[in-house]
Amino acid sequence: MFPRLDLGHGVGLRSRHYGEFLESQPKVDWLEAISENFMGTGGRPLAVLDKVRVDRPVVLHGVSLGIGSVDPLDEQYLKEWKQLIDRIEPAMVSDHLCWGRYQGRYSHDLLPMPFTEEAIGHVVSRVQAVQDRLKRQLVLENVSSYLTYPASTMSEAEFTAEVARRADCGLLVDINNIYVSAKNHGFDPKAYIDAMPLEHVAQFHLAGHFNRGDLIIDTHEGHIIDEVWQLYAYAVERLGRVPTLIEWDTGVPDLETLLAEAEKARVLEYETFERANAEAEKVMLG
Amino acid sequence: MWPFSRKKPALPPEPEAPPAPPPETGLQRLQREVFERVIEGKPSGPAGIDDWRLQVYGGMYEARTHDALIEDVPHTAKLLGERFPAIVKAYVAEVPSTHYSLARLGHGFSAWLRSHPVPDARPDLPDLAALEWARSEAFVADDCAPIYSEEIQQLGPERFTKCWMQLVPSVRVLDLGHRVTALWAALEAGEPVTPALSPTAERELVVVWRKGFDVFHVAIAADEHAALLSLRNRDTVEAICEHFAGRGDDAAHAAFQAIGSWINEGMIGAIREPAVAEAGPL
Ligand SMILES: [Fe+2]
Repeated sequence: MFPRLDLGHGVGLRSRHYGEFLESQPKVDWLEAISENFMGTGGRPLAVLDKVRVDRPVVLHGVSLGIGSVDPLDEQYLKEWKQLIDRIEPAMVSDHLCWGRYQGRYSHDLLPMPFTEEAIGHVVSRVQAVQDRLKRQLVLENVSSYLTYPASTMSEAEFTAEVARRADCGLLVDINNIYVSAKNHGFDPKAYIDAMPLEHVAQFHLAGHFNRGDLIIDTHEGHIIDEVWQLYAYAVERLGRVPTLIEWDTGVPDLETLLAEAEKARVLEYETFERANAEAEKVMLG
Repeated sequence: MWPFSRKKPALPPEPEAPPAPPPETGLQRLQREVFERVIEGKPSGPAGIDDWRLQVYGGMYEARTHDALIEDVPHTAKLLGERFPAIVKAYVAEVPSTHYSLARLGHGFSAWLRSHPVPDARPDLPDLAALEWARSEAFVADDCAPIYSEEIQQLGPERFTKCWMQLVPSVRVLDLGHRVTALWAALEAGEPVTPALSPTAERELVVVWRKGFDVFHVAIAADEHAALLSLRNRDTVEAICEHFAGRGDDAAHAAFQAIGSWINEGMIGAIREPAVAEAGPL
């Protein structure tokens, strides 16, 4: 299982807002920092991260671990990642359930896994190796995808849940990614959420995307659409109160707009519980 | 035995054939085939996957590497204009990303551009790219507290000349084939590239460094350039100063002025006295 933290609603720490975070104390529950942007570096970015960490929890979220790659894990990556983790003492350390590195070369993409027993075995052994190395649990996020493999023998939700159970890691359930992949591949997003093992769910992600007609692309751009908000409410109902992050990486808006989106998530979470409580009360009172 | 023995020297043993690699697993094969199609642009991908779906990933790789390189060398990209995307594609095909951070993608761009001249493009672009990359690197180089001039005053001139010094990690010492600092300044200020900024095939020596959070660069004279390389080589202050000998009577003054400016700009991270060569009586 993964301990359920009570972090609240956070946003990503992005370079556009560094000045505001250096000069003032913007009101936000927690911040997500992209691990690779701060590993093996110094200067302004690291100074900003050090400063924001003084006042609030920080979650380190990576994009290049390649937990599902057949390539050996990148030793330099592991070393510099551990150094950053020791320095920042993040509330959580996460990356994606995907692959991206092949024969020492990086695709810098979150390439989807085939959903097979072989892939589960491969990922689980690597998660265990990473957890032993970091001496902490890893959190893995479901990715958006634009293709599926004929080799897959199970659904993405089954695959994801099984990895979490066998590796005993946390799950970062990206609600927008579920929506994007569900639309792209024609599965039921609610059934996906139902299949998530409650005791492993560590974090939710919410983001905007781009619908190009034949395919939805996970761009992390713009406001979260209504259907994704509804899916978030469903996830809150089914999986409970989970630390939630707003991702907005393309056309990053001003901080006020970004924080307003986090506030919207907070209100929706509250309303979802209020409604659930009212319904439970009604049932109890007959 | 040899040269007295008539025995034939023993032949070296036949090299054993390397063990055959284990057969590719299903997962290895799938990742190889996807990578070859999406990243290397081979004509086909794994069986059973619509190629247009693989091309979605291929297009994203192109866009991502393009955007990353623009961050590293924005002015070079601007001068290359419409040709830049094709150049990025050719560059990443030959110099694939082997670092986990996309921000490191530009590390080999200047050298690659030098060996792959763009037809009808300015010949000073590789030098402009080298300057831009050095600035990008300096911006995020490891932190290191610089030394203060008081530390040297405490040592006194006698002991100081025997010391060696260490540059902070952000310092880059460049030897460029064209004068590009004026071009960079105009582009940075958003000014037009006037005929006065036409490529000048004259060597320009530049030092790049970060002071606080800000990155600076300045063109320097040949003796200061040689002195900085000497410093980087951990030569003693005495040896570093010798590079200013060409200034005649002014040599000592020039040397100490240069060292003073390096210290004031936060370029020196450490100063060390050599270990005592001979141990005293026990
Ligand atoms: Fe996400």
